[in-house]
Amino acid sequence: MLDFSFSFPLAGSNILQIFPTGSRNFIFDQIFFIFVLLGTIVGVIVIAYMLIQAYRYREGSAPKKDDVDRPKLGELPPPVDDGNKLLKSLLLSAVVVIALVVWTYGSLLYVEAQPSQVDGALTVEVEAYQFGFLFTYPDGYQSTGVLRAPVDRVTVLKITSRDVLHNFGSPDLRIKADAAPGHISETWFLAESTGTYDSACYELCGAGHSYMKADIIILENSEFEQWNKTKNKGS
Amino acid sequence: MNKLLQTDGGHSDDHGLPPMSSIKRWLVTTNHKDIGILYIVTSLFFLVMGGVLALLIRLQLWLPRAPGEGLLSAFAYNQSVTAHGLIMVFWFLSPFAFGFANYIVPLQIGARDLAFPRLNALSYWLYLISGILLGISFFQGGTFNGGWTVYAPLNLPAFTPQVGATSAILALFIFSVAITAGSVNFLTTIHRMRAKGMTLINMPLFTWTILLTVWMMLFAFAALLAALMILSSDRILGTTYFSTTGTQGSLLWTHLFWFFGHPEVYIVFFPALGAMAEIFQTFTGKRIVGRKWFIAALVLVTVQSFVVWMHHMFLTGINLEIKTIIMITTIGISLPFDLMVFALIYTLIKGRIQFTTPFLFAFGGLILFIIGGITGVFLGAVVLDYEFRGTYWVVAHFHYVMVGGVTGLVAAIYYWFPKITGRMYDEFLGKVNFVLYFIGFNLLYFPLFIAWETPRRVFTYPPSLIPWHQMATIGGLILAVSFAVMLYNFFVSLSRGEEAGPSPWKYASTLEWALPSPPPLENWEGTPTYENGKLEFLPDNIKTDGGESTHE
Repeated sequence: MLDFSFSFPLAGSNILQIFPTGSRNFIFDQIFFIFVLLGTIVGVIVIAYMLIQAYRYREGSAPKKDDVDRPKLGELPPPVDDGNKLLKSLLLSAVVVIALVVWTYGSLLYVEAQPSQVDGALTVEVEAYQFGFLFTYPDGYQSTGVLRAPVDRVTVLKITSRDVLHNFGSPDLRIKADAAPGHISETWFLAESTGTYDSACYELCGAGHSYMKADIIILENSEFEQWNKTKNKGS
Repeated sequence: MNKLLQTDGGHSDDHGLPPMSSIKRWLVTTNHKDIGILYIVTSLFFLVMGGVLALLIRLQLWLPRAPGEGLLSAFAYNQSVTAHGLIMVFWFLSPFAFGFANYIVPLQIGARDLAFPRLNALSYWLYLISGILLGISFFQGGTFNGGWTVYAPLNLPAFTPQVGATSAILALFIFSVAITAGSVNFLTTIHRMRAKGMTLINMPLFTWTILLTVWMMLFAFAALLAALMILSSDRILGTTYFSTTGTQGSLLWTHLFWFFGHPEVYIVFFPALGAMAEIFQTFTGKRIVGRKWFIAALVLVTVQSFVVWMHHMFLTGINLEIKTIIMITTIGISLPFDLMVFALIYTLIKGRIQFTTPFLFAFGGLILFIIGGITGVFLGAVVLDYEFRGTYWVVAHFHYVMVGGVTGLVAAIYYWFPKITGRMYDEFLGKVNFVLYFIGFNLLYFPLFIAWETPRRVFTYPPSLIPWHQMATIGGLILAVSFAVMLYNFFVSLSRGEEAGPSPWKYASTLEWALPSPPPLENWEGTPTYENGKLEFLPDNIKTDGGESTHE
């Protein structure tokens, strides 16, 4: 079985750890940066190599005397064993790709670990519907279109749908989870600064999909507690 | 020349069919070359249709829009993104590739026609009817508008009540029937009707990719057909297989759809890859490096394509253990592609490369595929995939791969144009086409990586991304112009092009280039054979069993 025994939250607490852990923004930014860097290097090398070889062996540049056996009309492909270089290149690319993805696997385990066991985590139920989001707090308070959460504290989201398949996502907080009818997906986020963040539906769900949005307002802990106490009075 | 051959030859000119200039010919024909042309021409119509929808989408995205602003209403926008996806994947890409498969595969393996010519004609006509039905569905209260993935329960009448939505599902259904009939036909042909000496391993790479494509089609479209049958039953008969509440609806559909949907990616890409491999060989004057490894990689991908579908569902109700397995199979399937890319690149070395239009498109297509492949590795890392889900990163990635495949097929149409029409295309216009295409393509799709935070199928986005989306829209218009140049080139060259002769290409090696352009109705006199290690045509009357010629 897989090991879920990660302590929580780990934000930057263990510098010996090879794979990134911490807020989901931190994890994403770290991994994305390395992928973009390596992807660009590999892409530039491979495409440059292609262009150079294509230019070098263009017709007319080659020596008059041709010692290469060229394809002939109506031939069967002769049996040749020229796969060595190919397999070496494959091995090299396999090492790069596998190393990269395995490196991210630790972070995946961290993200997937059960965050609801963290002390002090706030749990909010999210119900998506055509076309909005309903947020339900532990005390039963409900609000549509606005999610309030404290800064520097893990917020756990239990996401479902009232009707069709939706997806709740916030690019700024790196949240993303499917909202399927009859199914609860669990995810979490950790906001590192206060402010108002966008969230939206990321799965085509009908005519109002383009405008299916909600604000996520991140408050200072004290402000959040204040709001938490008084919120039921207003409604 | 003996009497039998003469009468046979005279007979084969018309074979009781009206001439090609007569409309009736195209209605009654069962000849594989005629049907190949029908597929190519019809699919180009659908390219224009899907392309116009794409331009509408791009124009709507010129600026972030409030409700009711711009060219399209929200409902029309959803119809456009849905129909654009369906038309390009189903009604353009595969049929375009199968136009070449129809025309070229029997020639490459030395078969006089497909195994079941009438079934082949039926496949085409079902394809055309399904496409027309999809066109009609726009005028029946709106076509299906729930995305090309047709996710449940949005695909049920409770959420998409339009008659047109049902028509679109039926159109897909008929299309799947056509594909299934076609795959049986090609399987029989390629496995049973090859010339002597043309063993499987000796088959040209284009034929290899078509063989593996139809194997994938046989299993993948079976899943889609089943899903569409129960969906049609839900929509028309009122059954509730895909229930509107509960996961049984949405999860069942998502699994069935992607069990089909992931192999479908290779179904549309393989023929382009095969064509690119042939074009690389012909215009570099080099046989492909590591041919048997290339074929092994193709076979491996074919098998693996059926065990990666859940990587489309990393956020959709699957647990960590399964995510891990699918992550491994997904990395696994990228490796054979690495090998094939290296094989094509190493084929350049010591070549005598002719930068003709087909080679430019094949070479450009490989560059685009490499970029699509690298950005795909990002999606294989599950933590990154979570964030890319439903964004333009996915859109940009699969357009680099899929339209990279289109690039390979544009290479194919230039490559085989002289064979099919007997005329050369205009080389200068071809190069203009390539330059416009390559600039337009990258201007259209590369900015989408930069603007990747845009949610998919949405026409509101952060104002900071406006320049990238406007760049993409301009790129889209340039890409459209490049296709207009291509069609103009072919239209003019049909009557004014130089005579092509049997083979205009110096290093062509496959059987079709040994035939006149275009080949006669019956392809050849006598029987082609590779028994002695190279192509020969045996006269028909020299039959070892002494029997009569049987192709009458």
